[in-house]
Amino acid sequence: MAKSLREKHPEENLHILVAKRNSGSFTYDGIELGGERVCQEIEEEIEKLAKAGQEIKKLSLVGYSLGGLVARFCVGLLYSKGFFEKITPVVGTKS
Amino acid sequence: MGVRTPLRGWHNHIWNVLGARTLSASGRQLFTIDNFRDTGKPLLEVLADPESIFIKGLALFERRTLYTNIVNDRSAVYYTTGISKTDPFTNLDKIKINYVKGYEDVILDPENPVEPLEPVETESTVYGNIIRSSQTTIGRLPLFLAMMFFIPVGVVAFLINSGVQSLRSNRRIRLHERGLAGIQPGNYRVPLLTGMREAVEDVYENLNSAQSNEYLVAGTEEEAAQEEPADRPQSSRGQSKSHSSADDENSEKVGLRHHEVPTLALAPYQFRMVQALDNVGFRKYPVYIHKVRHSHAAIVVRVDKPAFDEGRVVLRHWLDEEFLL
Repeated sequence: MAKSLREKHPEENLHILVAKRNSGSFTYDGIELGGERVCQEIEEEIEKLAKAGQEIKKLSLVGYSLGGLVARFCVGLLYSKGFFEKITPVVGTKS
Repeated sequence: MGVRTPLRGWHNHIWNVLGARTLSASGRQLFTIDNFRDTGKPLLEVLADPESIFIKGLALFERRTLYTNIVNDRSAVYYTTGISKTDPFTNLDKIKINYVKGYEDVILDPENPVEPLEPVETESTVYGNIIRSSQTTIGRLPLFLAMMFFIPVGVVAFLINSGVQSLRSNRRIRLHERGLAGIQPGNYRVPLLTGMREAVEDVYENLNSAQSNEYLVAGTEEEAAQEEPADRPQSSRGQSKSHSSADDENSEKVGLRHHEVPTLALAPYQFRMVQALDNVGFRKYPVYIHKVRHSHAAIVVRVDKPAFDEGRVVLRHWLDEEFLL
């Protein structure tokens, strides 16, 4: 999925973050903890990119199966932190 | 909607009660038997509460899209991934499937996913139907045999593994709660509800959960209550057809369809979730994977193999039609 996304959109236009911290059996730890992990991963990534001079203006989230629910939890956390006042939410996808 | 299956009686006990408790935190949340923080509600219900940060955040997105397997996805069945009160795809022999142009055979037209087969056609294919249904029975024989062997072995292995995984998972959660896993939970423990829920009298609360087997009884008030408000707003840009031609004929057809697609016996909170999520608005694409049985894996091309090619069609649709920069 990340591969075909990259084939269509180059790095200058689109940064892809494949969340790593809920992989394997970490998936058992619940939607809440999973959502918090992803939320932190996103915030850290954006901070890292900002330091490297790459500004993120928009955000899309894709989740599959349980990941769709984790993504929705994460959206709530980002919202409550005022994240979407700085960064525009564009597409949310799940399957 | 979680994985609480619309069942009653002893099936309900085995799957929804016993099954739920062999799982870890994620499992309990999916079976909605958890109590999320101190809300007195399961996490999934809070996640779909119109007043919650989750729905408010979701509503800000320019577009919300979902793809849902209509068959063979046992991990994520149609009504839960498709956010639906009905399952029109239980008997594919009796319906005609309409596809999105350019994505034929895989992605169903959300405007008009299925329509009843013309009566003439069904008559002429009675023989074909017999063959087809016997084929599916014979086709499943190896599966049944395999299950007879693997179920006893599998159940034991499964119970041991879920025990071990639950222990490990609980340890990770405890670490996390004490802030030892690199995340300060305090950072994310924010108020979940941004306003008091209005004390509107809930129609659904009165819904007697003791309905018939798997569906609500057609023609009852409960069923009517589920039909009307829900399917109109957007999930059914699909179901409503053009009213241009003879009105009588149309309403008859619609009535017929309602009988064919009975409302699932979901729990009251599940109906509320469907409603709340539909109000936010999703672009829903039913997906028909028929080359392989494992549609849950094929829809995301989990393994790079030709048998999963139908998943590539979904991927292409998402890239070209749905994803925005």
